[in-house]
Amino acid sequence: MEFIIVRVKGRPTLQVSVLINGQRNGTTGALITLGGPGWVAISVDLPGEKFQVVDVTNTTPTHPMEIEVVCD
Amino acid sequence: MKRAWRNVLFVCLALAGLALLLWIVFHDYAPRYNQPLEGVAPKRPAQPADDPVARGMWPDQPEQDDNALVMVAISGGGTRAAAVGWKALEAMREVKYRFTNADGKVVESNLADEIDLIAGISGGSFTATAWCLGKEEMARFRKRFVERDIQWALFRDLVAGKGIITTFSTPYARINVAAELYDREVFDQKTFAALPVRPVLRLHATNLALGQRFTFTPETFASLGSDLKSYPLGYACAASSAFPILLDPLTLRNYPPPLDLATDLTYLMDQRNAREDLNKAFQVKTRDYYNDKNNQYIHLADGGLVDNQGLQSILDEFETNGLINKRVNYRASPLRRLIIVNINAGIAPPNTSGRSAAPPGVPSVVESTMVASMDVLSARRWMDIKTRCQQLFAAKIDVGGTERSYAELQEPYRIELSFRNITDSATQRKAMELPTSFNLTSEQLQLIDEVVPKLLEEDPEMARLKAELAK
Repeated sequence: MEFIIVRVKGRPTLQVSVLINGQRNGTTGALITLGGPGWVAISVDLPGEKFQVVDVTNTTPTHPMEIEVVCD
Repeated sequence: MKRAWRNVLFVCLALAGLALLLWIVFHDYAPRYNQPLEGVAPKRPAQPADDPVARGMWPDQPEQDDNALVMVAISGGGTRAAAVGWKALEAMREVKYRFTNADGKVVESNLADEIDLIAGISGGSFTATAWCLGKEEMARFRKRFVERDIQWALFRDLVAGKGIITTFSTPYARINVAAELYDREVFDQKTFAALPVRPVLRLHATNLALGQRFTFTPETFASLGSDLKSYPLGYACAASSAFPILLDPLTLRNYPPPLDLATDLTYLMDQRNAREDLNKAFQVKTRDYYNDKNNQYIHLADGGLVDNQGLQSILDEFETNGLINKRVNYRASPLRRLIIVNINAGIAPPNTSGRSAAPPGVPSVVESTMVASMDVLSARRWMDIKTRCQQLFAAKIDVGGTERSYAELQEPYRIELSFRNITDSATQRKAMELPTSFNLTSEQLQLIDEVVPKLLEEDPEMARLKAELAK
């Protein structure tokens, strides 16, 4: 399992749904567990969102990968 | 003498003529296929911002504990598996499950009624399907399938005329006779449309072209340009139990147009991960195969060939965007209990080939190469589920329960019901020698009815769950 925390750039306290590979799964600012290592497309449920593709490997719940998503 | 020869010639010509006539009438006789989607394949409906159903939660069913995920897999093994599954679900009904729902009301339920997902393979697929159709169906199913000589019913249908069609038709095979029998006499011609939203049913077969698991889901059928809702449940169970050689594979149609995979993020990410992750590589290969509409037909055999206990179905739910994964990440209502029940009707009759210098015969070699290797794979998957559960609970320990999604998670429960756990050696020997067929005697069914509740009662994980539920 791998672990990430997703935030919206410029709005660090905003809580919205996170989309992993296009499916809603988790919330911004909270720990998100992934099934395994590898490439995932991450975006958030906001207008103008753009997904970014990241490689998530060797994370732990105490050291999750921090991902910042840019929205227009 | 000349006259006798003339008679023989006449009979031969008459038979040849009859065969030609039957061939002309039946060679194109087609079985019922899966139907194409009406019009253009619909896009996946937009998911509401906060969709609990996608996470294995059922807010419209207050009798359901939304803080628990209960997943059950019923193995293959012909009527033996169907009977073991049936009795195990009955025994689970006896396990009291009390919880407080979102409205603050105390609900008195039982473990079986809390099942969120049920996977079935081969013989187990029939019981899993009957379970999803409801309690009344389960009572009927016992008479209609478990206690019935299905082999005789199939033989009867073949002799009554359908055997002739299978001989002369290219697409219509013995498996279609079986599918029609299950459709008509076991499931009352019900299709997937008759299934409730919950529990989720996962029926598995094997795609022979790829050597990969085929799961009867709306998503898989959408890849085939087809509609799962109109497909008969009996046909899916026939595909799941089409053991090679004994029964022919069951065929599905693969309809155009192909899907636009270039915009499918799951497919694109699987493609990117395929080199490092062979499971992703297989998924890409499968999607590519279905999207190549030159592959007009998909031939399915027994699901047990690649996963005889249905455990891969549970393992998949731990993957990113699987049911377990989505549920763990849902902070609004944290997951408290993950309960996985492995109903394994596998047997291991004694192998005496080592007592003789003669090399084992074909049946013994088939047993060792196919059935034994299937068991080894299933055992590994059960161990993989254990590892996944440990990882999940280790994550809770790592964040000290301060992370809301892990705060209430109890150590996952892995309940195993298997003949290998029978403590009495004489009973175990009898159970391990039960046949794999579609016909069991009343004595054999009685043995299953006695053994199964005891196995559930004695399972240490079940004892741990009961202790927790009693608090």
